[in-house]
Amino acid sequence: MSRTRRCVVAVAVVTAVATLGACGGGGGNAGASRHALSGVIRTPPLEVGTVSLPDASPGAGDAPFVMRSQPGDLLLVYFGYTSCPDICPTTLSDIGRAVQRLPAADRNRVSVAMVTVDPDRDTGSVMTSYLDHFVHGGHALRTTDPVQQQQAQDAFRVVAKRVDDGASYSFEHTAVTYVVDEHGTVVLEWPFGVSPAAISDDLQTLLHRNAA
Amino acid sequence: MNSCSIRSRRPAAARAVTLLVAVLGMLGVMTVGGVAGASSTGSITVSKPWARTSPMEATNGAVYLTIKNTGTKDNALVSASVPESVAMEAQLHETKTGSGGTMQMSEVSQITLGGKSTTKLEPGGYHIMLMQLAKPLKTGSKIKVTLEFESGPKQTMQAVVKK
Repeated sequence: MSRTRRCVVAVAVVTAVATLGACGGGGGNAGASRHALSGVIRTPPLEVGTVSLPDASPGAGDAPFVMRSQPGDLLLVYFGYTSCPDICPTTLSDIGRAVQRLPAADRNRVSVAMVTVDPDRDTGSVMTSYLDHFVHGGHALRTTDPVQQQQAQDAFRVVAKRVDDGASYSFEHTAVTYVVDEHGTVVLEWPFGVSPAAISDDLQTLLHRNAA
Repeated sequence: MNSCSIRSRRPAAARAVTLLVAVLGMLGVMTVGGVAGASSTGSITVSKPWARTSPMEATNGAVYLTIKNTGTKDNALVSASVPESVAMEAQLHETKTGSGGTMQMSEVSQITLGGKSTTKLEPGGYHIMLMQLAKPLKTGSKIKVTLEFESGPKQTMQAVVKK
């Protein structure tokens, strides 16, 4: 019984956060958009434009990837790992579906970057093929320098803790998707569980607001 | 907070949705009863089993489903298994929201199925974790999943692999 109750509580928390986000977004964006944002607007927002991590995607050659979008576009950043069976594939699948829902003109204005919290198992090629399964042309960001990793996580307020379980291990980690603009400002954050339709609507609102 | 206006509208809408879900659920069970996707024995009915499609590189996967316990007594899902051709091992897992908004996944010994209630294994909550996939889970394919309960017979069903 207690486990069932705990599950209900967890779902309730996610729902509450999403509801809170909808309200915060609506207030902060009144008059500028057609609908209230489903994501959460942090005050003051996180500034991540000075963070850069090696881009392990093929062809990028570990070149520093700076946490800023192309001018007028948006960059979605997610911290996770490929051995994660539940939260990470669900989030990436939701992001992929959300981007697919966008009008074609908006679709190539959104790029996606996944930062691995598990660089030991997630090599560049593993991450790239994994990402390609959900989104096209995603950036696989990976560093083996713990200081650089920690600096990136701190900038996004991401917590990632390794949990050993016999022969294997998993991570307890922040499962937020961050929307970053061209200045490196995190303009919106989606907690786990926001639907692809809501994400897509938020993206359109932000893209059109940015263009205005 | 304008969440109040949302909350005040919720009960009527929620009731309507619950009713709709209940009706659709009944229709669904009636339609697919006996078909591979659903399984029912005694007071336990399992419906909508599915697994998330996995990329070539993924080592683990997850199966989700809905279990309805129509009996008055509590029951429990105590184990799940899949053929070796699917994964090395299947474990019952729960993802919980930890301190500071982190998501934490851990193995549970069983999942309680309260009497006269429905328990959902869904993303972000309970799931059957498939450890060390033998091969990628391809969209559209089906995998055999067997569930064992505290009381009542085992049930085997086909979970469809979806994106």
